[in-house]
Amino acid sequence: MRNDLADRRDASSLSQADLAAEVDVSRQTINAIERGRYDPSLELAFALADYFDCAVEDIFDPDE
Amino acid sequence: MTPDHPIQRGQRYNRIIMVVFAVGVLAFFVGMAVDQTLAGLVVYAVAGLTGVAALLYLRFVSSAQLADERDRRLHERTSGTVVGIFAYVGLPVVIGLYLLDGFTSYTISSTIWGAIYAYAALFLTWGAVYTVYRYRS
Repeated sequence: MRNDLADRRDASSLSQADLAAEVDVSRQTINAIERGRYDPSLELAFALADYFDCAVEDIFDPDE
Repeated sequence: MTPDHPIQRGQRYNRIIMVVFAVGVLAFFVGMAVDQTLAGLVVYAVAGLTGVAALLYLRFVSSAQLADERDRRLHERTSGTVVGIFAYVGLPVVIGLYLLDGFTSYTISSTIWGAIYAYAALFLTWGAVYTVYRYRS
């Protein structure tokens, strides 16, 4: 599933480790999501959307 | 992420425990190689039990987080793959051994019977755990 997490993180001047700490996962998990190698759970997807104050579908594109 | 974040602490502790396990296994084989089997076994036992105790403490008592959702999914995929390998490779082997034992002069040894019982126990356990999860879900 394609996502723009890396762009949003860069725009917020956050490191992967910083974002990981905010949503209680490891830095490796954020890296895997950004590279499209791991699709997060609904819970984590909502946590990321909540952090960036947007909807889940604004970050993740299920059609890709 | 600060070094004190529960996930980072969990990853650090996990690495230390894996090193402890590795030291134990290494000591076991080195002990055998240098004819100090008992000493190697003692180090192996202490390292193994210490590692298990530490893992139990971290999992049930400590605030450190040993795994996140991706780790858990990796573990699930790994377990599924291993069980699949055992099922699709192991079952034909066991059936083949039964056939050899029944129709040729080959006799299944007590060691092989032990392996077959362990194999059966693995899948009986899997079935029991699966049944519990299925009824709870």
